[in-house]
Amino acid sequence: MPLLRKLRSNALLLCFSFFGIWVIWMSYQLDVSPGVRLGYNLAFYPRLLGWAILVISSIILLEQFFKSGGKDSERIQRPQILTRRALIKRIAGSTLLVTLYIILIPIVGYLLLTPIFLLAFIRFLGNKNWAMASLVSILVTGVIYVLFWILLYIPLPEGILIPRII
Amino acid sequence: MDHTLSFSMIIQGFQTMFGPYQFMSTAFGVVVGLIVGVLPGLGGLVAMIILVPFTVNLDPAAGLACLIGVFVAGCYGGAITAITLGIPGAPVAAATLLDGYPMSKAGKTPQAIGLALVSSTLGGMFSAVVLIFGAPLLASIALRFGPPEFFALGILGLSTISSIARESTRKGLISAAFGLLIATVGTDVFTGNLRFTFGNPELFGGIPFVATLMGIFAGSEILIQLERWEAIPVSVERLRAKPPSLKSMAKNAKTYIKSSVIGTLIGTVPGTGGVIASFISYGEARRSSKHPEAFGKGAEEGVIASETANNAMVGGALVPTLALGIPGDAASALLIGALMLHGISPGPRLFEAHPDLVSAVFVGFFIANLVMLGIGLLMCPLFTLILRIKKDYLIPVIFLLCFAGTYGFRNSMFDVILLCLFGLIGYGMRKFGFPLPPLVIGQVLGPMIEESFRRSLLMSGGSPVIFISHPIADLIWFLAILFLAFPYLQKMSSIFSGSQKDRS
Repeated sequence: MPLLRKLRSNALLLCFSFFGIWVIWMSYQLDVSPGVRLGYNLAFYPRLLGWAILVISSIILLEQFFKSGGKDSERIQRPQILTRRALIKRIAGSTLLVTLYIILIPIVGYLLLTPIFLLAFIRFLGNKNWAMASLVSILVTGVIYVLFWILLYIPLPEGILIPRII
Repeated sequence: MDHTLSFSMIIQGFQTMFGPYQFMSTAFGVVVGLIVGVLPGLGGLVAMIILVPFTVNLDPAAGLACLIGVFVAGCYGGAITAITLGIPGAPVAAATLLDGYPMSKAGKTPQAIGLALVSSTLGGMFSAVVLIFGAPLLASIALRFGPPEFFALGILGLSTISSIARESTRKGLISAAFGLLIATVGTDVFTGNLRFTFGNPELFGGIPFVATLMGIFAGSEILIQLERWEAIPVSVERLRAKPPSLKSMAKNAKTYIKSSVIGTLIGTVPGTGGVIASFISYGEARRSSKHPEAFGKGAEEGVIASETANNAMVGGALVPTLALGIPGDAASALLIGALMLHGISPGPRLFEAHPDLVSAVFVGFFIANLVMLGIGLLMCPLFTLILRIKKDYLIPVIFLLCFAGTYGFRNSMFDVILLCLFGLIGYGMRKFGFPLPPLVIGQVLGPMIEESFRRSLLMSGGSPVIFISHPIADLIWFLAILFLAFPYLQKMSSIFSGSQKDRS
């Protein structure tokens, strides 16, 4: 189906068009007193940008839809190395691990959760060496902790399960 | 204001930058830049992004010197991969590959690495001198600018996207407009009202630059790297650098000088970047060489021309970045963002308000090049190990650094969610051919563009004529239009020259 293919290969342009419309609509919801001078109108500038996004993305979209045959220059770049299934598995698995880490870290804390997360991530990406993966996970967690928390005083999530160690 | 930095200011800059704290920061930046620059596909920009949150807690001079160290060393780091593996570690090293890799295949790997290191150092130091004298002069001119000129200047900064987004200027424009819109989120500076915050207090101060930057570049890079799981051939040979002899340097002095000038000049034009600088310099070296047939087969001049120019470009790029607040590429936008995170506005007033910082940054850039020479020579054997780091270790570590940096910036999990969101957006944009640098340039220039735009309208009572009724603004508009039209003019000229050839 050429139409479906074109829609798919221009999905992001379509999203940007809707985003432009949404920004224009949102700009009308902003709190602007009637008759306010243009410089003080906080909605005018984002509205202009919304229009810019809508107009440019619509022009490209129209061009793409009316382009007859030939090469479809806007086609999505497909990965060359992995199979589709392996790719989905890798990205979905990584996303799941990262999501779990973000959900759990405020509860478990950086020091306890990070080595487990790193080990799981490294193993998930195909590493077979348990010992090296464990060593890297612990070392990296420690180095980042020392660098951020101790040397630069940048806080990391402490968690509520165990108190701060150092 | 004096048109140049006084001698005493430069001396003070040296005193500041040779302080243990500042010097260590520069050296740290150089080491990180070299390590990440060597890793194919990552490059100095990713290293700079990862280091931004660290530098916020340093004093501004040390923080900027650290980032500049990464910028400088990242450019050279890419050359090592290009020479040893035949894969440019960063796009700027693509021209180095043409002769560096054949040199390596001919058994001259240490010579090629040494040549690239010395050339990069000399190019960088030359452009540092130009930066010290050129940037204050440009800033003194820009001090006469009012809101209409600044608005035109902002648009000039955005117009560089036509050069950055070579494949699709219009997609680059969408990307830039998206960046400008991101900058509108938060409290409006004119009225104090909230805009696009949806009642979320975390957004009252706007979308943090660190989260956007990390997500758009590093987050999307992680996803791309997950996709491309190709094995990188690893050189078994232990790497070392053999710098060229003084006699050889004297023989190639013309190439060093010419490439430094080309690189610096091209760097000052926003949006051009190191790739263009190195290829133009390479082309010129080949054109003027007595042995043009040797190019592409391992000519020393080829490596010199490319590496000298791509590091000289860095100093050139810092001239408009610091003097006008106009970033020419993502790395310069990041430096501006880092300055803003310290509460310092780049642009002409920077030279009046913080002359000590300016001199320290300039001297820091000079020193970063020297430090790179020393560390580059010492660290060379380590590059063999770095090239062997597997992606299954690298990807989780990069994610963790991004997480820690983003979280630590405001102690906020919301920022981490933004990081992931922008990572997905960046990934989608890359897959559909939208360039990312315009987005960051848009976010950085956004506040200046909006403020000068609305201030100009207030001055004129709402009349847009003010934007074209100032002669300096007109000149800047002309340049902006020229930049935007440049790819189309190039296309037209190639069509025209093609039809001329057909006729003949």
